[in-house]
Amino acid sequence: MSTPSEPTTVLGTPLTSQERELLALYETTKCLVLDPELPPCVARNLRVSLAALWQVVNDLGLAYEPLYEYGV
Amino acid sequence: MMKDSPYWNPRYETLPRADLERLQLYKLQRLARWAWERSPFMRRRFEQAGFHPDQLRTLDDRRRIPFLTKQEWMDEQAQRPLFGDLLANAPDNAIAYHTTSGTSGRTPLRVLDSLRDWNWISEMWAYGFWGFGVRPTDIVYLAFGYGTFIGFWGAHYCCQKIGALTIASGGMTSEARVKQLVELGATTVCLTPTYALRLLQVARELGIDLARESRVDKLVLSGEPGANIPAVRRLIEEGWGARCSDMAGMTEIGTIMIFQCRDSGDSTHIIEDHFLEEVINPQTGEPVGYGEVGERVVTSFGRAFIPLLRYRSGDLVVRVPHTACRCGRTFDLYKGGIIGRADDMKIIRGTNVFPSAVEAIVREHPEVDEFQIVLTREEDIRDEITVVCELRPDCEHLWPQVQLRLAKALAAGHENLRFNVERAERGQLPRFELKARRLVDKREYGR
Repeated sequence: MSTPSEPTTVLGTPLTSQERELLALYETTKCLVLDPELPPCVARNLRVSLAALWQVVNDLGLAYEPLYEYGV
Repeated sequence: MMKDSPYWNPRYETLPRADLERLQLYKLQRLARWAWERSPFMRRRFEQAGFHPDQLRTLDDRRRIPFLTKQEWMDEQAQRPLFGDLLANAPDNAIAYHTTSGTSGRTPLRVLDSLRDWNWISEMWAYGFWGFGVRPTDIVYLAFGYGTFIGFWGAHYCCQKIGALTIASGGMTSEARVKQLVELGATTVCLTPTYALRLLQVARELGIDLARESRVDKLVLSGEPGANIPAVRRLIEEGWGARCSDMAGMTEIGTIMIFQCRDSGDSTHIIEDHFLEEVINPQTGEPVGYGEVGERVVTSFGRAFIPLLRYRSGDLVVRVPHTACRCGRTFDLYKGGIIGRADDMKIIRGTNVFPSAVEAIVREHPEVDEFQIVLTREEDIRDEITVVCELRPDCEHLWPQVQLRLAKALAAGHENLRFNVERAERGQLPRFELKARRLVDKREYGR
């Protein structure tokens, strides 16, 4: 049984350690792309990465959100 | 090893049905909320229907969401060009513009997509390509003209994502494509069923036997129902010496929603972790059960730039349980793929005629190279149906027998309706690269 604070998939299944890392990577990338001072090469390539990570967390049921506010 | 998995997404392609439905409800609730908040067009429609996203407590509550039709979309687009009030995202966030094929003769639908939408679009193709057996070692040849028609663009990016060598053949002649796909050792070709037949003709004219002289062992067919017409499929598979997979999609969702895996025979799996598919009686709008013919209604959980909820596709399907396939996926299937269009049935002297059914019979006659169905009205009252045939060059002497056999077979398949069967000169009938338009209804123009 998962505790209330334990992160889960959208279906309520506790995350594996690999899934936690993927979700953390996704969240970190979301934070990074919001920095307005990023040079174009970083800003655009990070968005490409974020779009790919969005697909990963969506496919694995770790998160499901529109994400458009991040410019992807 | 997970990399040897027959599934692109092992967990969700084999998810128990109850969990799959919980996932669909979770996504539906959020998608409806997004559409309500961000798409003025969708919100107006929801309000007119008395629907609010808070009403979605069970998956059955989806029936509170009003159906969306292509006509509504087109009307909205016409009233507020270019895109109407459908967009749920700022246009400057888009990276791609595409349209429908426009084969209906009307203004095509226009769509915009963002970076992450395109990631998702190619992902849906990846479910199909991987499930059919395409792997990083494959060489995939995309035989279509690119341009703004969405066509196989998603398949192109899917192949790059999978890691296959991806060859874009836009702007090339059919002759050049045949030579190039042989020369480069393509193992997989992606094209419409009509064009698969056309390339066989062209190869024959070039003296190339694709079954023997190419490395192609997989054909990804999309854009038309032909891949599931048994006679068409047999012609293509024998001519190419390759297996076919039917992967059907639509511009309105930007990608495919069904695919044939290696085990599903004539049936196509629905990608149910990314789509909610319903089958309804096209007249009443009420759901129909497994095994019954109905119109498919799609809700897409992927593209949210233009949110699509309960869109009436016009496609006729027969849904069967996932157990009809032994592959282990828990995704239900459409038996025979898209079996027709709710709006393409013609009534000739009281008999229902589907162009796909006529094609199935014509393709049982390998002497016929190309054909056209012509509907006319004689003496302002009597409808006539004529199948005009072009024969293969080596079969022209067989015309009297072919004409007789075909007329009999067509009548037998249509409650003894009389079909006229006429011959066209070589090269007289049009050839198609994308969606074929083999039906000419001259009745609509008062002739």
